[in-house]
Amino acid sequence: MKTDHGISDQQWFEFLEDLLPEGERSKVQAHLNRCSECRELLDALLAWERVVRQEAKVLISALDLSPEEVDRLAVQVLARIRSGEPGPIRAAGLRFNEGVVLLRALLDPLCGRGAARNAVRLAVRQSCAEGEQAIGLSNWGDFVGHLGQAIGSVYGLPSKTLVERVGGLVALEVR
Amino acid sequence: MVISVLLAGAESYVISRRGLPPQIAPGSQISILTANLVGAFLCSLNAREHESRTPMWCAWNLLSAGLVANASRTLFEIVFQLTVGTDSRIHPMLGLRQVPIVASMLFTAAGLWEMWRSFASLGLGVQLRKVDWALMGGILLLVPPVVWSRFQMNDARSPLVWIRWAQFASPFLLAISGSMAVVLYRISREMGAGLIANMLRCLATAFSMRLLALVFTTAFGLPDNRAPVTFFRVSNQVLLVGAHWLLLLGLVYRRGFSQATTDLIEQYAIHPRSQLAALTPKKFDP
Repeated sequence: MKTDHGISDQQWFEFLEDLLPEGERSKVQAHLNRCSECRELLDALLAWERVVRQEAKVLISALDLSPEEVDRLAVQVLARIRSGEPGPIRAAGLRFNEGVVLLRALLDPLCGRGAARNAVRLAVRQSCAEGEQAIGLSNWGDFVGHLGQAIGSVYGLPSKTLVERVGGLVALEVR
Repeated sequence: MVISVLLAGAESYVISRRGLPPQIAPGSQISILTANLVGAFLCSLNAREHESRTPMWCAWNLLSAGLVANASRTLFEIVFQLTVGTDSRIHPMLGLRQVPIVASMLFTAAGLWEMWRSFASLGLGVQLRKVDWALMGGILLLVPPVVWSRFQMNDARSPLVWIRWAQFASPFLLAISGSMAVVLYRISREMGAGLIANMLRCLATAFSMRLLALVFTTAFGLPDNRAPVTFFRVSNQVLLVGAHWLLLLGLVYRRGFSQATTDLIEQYAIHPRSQLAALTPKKFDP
């Protein structure tokens, strides 16, 4: 839905999350420089975002979840949101099994080709008995969790965080 | 690292040519002490990146403890040699250095075992080849000659029986680390390229060099200034100092891996789409 000023809700969301492509971002920024009404709207959105983040922190601490569990839940929730929303955030055209390949491409130069291959195979086996082609919306979160665990146990917690973060981003891009 | 190794070689050459006991090499000892202390610190940083009581957490803590034990042995030797002397037959208390030596080797061997366990969970290093078994056999074959000529080694003539037994155990314990080095090298080959593979290669080479240095020590330990002996004694010192600095280089590679991972996490937080696009350019091109 476009507003009177030519910026859609989706674009506002992506602008706030720094997900907007450079061209569109420049246009929005140029519009903001000359439109006081939209600047006020942006300020209000930023204020809401701060409130929501603060509330989220309170909720997370109340639930007593570990950061890893929160990341995994976030991936699952985002995947569910995407499944109920046919219009993609950005039409990337990835499928879940291509997401597996993408995660391997991430890990290959970092952990070594052999280690990346073995870790992905292990995670696929643990999350889906039918193999890589059967990885989908329902088991993507499990797959990312297992892969993060396998890599993290050998290469350390930062590499686990990286896998879970990229896994979450892939969940946003798949169709 | 190169400067330390060259200085150790030069120092050893001068000592050997003047017919001094090879144990007196303060420059090399300070160099080893520095490498051990920095290495222990880096190992403890690595351990902090792992969940408590996991194999890799144990591995880094054990390797850190091994380096601290070796540093304390070196410090003990420096202080003792500067204040009392270098011959444990005259000064039996000098033989106490065998305690940190054995502790260091035990910690290191246990640390490498835990490291192997961790990599084995990813299916790496579980299927050794014939050449690996042959190399491990070759390492074990080095032990008997070292044991037979152990009287050339430090503290072999100590009046304290348990010191002599601790000294006797050294070649066996070092052979365990050497054998584990072969396994680490196999893991690095299975892993392929990358900073962790580089780290494993450095560790494997460092432990092999230490074993070789022990062989040289037993073979050419007596004061003698003949040219071949000088050559082997200089080689021994270069190998020993080089091994400690190579181990440190491996740990620096490991820290480089952590830094690269942290940088990537930040990049994905700041520019998620462009980072994903870099992974799959064809999919994301307009």
